[in-house]
Amino acid sequence: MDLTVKVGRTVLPNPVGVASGTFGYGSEYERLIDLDRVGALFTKAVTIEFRPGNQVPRIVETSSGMLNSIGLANVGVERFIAEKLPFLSTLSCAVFANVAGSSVDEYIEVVERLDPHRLSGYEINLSCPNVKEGCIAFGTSPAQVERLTAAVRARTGAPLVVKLTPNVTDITEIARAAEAGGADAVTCINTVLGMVIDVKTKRTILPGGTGGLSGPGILPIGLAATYRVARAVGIPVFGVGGIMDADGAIQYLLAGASAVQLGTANFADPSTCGRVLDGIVRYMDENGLERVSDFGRFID
Amino acid sequence: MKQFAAEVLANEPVAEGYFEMRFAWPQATPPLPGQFISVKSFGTTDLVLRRPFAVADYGSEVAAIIFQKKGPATAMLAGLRAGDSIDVIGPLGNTFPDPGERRPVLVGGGVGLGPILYFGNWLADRGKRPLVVLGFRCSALVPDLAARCRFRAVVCTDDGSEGETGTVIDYLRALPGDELSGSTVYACGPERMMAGCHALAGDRSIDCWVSMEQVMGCGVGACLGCAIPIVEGGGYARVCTEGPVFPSRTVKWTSP
Ligand SMILES: Cc1cc2nc3c(=O)[nH]c(=O)nc-3n(C[C@H](O)[C@H](O)[C@H](O)COP(=O)(O)OP(=O)(O)OC[C@H]3O[C@@H](n4cnc5c(N)ncnc54)[C@H](O)[C@@H]3O)c2cc1C
Ligand SMILES: Cc1cc2nc3c(=O)[nH]c(=O)nc-3n(C[C@H](O)[C@H](O)[C@H](O)COP(=O)(O)O)c2cc1C
Ligand code: FES
Repeated sequence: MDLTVKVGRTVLPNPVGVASGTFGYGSEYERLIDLDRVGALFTKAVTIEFRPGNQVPRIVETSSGMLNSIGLANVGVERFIAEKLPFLSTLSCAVFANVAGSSVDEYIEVVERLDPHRLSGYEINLSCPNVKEGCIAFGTSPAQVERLTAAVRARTGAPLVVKLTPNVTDITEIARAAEAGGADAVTCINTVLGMVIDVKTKRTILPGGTGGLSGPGILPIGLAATYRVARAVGIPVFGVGGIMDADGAIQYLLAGASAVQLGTANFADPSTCGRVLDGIVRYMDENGLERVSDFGRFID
Repeated sequence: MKQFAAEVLANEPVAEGYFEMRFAWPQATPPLPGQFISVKSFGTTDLVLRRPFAVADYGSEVAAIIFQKKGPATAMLAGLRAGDSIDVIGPLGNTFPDPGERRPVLVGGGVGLGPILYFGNWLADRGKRPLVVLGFRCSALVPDLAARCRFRAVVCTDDGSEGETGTVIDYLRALPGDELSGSTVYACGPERMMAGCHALAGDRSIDCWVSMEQVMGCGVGACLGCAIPIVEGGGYARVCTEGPVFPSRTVKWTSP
């Protein structure tokens, strides 16, 4: 049985990754799980400068999920290199830096600073407002996505994964724009726009009003998006959203994902990714699947 | 820090709406006063987040939490019986710092009772004589302290139905001027109470440590969800990792 998955020049040892923002920089989980069994680690968003993050509270639980508004809080690219990379580079799994910025130039600058350190690749986070162009999130305009992807592509030979937001009318258009810009893969999906109001205080619980919904409640949304995107592009798709067990991950693989990422599940139970990998292996065994790409044969 | 399945040894109501759960602690690192555990919201995918609880006692591989039944997760916990199992990650967070030569003054209320009892007993076992002041709304909320404390505690109730009448802050403020000099205050409970301790400590020029609360995602420092505003550095600190215990002067207080 072959569990590897190829993304550009990077080979993931297995198809079970951990999603950006839910796994810190890896070391936080070192004492809890066997990091050697993770297929790919996507770091918390890295920006040029340190970002303190949003006002608090930043998290509220919803039924079958949670809403977050962390606000790209991170140490900034220089401290990322000095303090986080040394540990990350000891890991056997693929490590992708999740890159964010408020202009095309900021994305480029982060990638250029990181490039000498030879990470497995970059995941471009499109759910950030483009401050130079009306603060509309990069990920909502196909033209912007293609321009941003192409600009980063021109600066690095490392595998480039573009992370799509579901908060658009047609996610397949955005995925095609990423492919046209030179992406090696897309990640599908980031969090779903949501809101919770406290009826006692008559205020939204998150100070900024809205946040990103994640967890088991969004699995059908991520799955449908993955199914559609996998049929719209010829590059690999990372399926993400609501995976809490092997069944959820297998659904994504059957829908056309080449690999998966677990986010909120790491909070509920850090041992989930190991169990998901075991479940995938068992399923492949029981169904006579030789390699991960065989999952894609079943559903048109 | 480890994730482990822990057998529930006892789970009993201790006051109106409050429960004490004792469970096995089958791992080498003991939890220290101030530290907490996170418990999985088991049995349903409707609740995705683990819940943090401060350690209320530890000895001979048995730990305890004292929790208030508030919403779905604590209702589920309250329904567990001896022999059931809980999924625990711990010990998490930092500890109450050792008072050294200073006299420890411990102030607890509400869900902050557990960690204050644990710290009080820990100090008493080391030959210290802490001043422990515990606040409750009324006597129905006061657990059997004699059975739990190896120190003497002053009980304050808002309505005067037991012990001193008024808040813990009223009590501390009314102490003779030099009673608190050379002390260090440790507080855990409602934010108003901790802010009151902070203000008092400022007036008397003594140190004050507070154990803060925030909704948590991961509990291990990875998600930056449990941030609270602080006056130094980057403006925020993680309750689960830099805390839960902070010097009160670093906290940005919102209550007066
Ligand atoms: C470091 C720390 C130590 C704590 N120690 C104790 C303790 O010793 N005893 C005790 O009774 N309670 C303690 N709490 C509070 C306890 O975690 C909450 O009461 C519990 O999570 C409520 O869950 P629920 O589903 O019953 O209620 P819900 O209805 O879900 O929530 C009630 C309130 O609890 C808080 N809460 C909800 N989810 C979380 C979460 N994931 N993380 C943190 N807070 C949350 C929120 O303020 C919410 O408004 C502690 C909290 C923290 C942060
Ligand atoms: C607390 C939190 C922080 C996140 N931070 C980021 C981030 O920095 N960059 C990013 O691209 N996605 C971020 N995400 C989105 C996740 O990577 C993932 O796409 C989403 O949570 C859906 O997956 P899930 O349902 O398995 O959690 C974050 C999600 C959560 C819950
Ligand atoms: S709860 Fe995730 S960083 Fe504290």
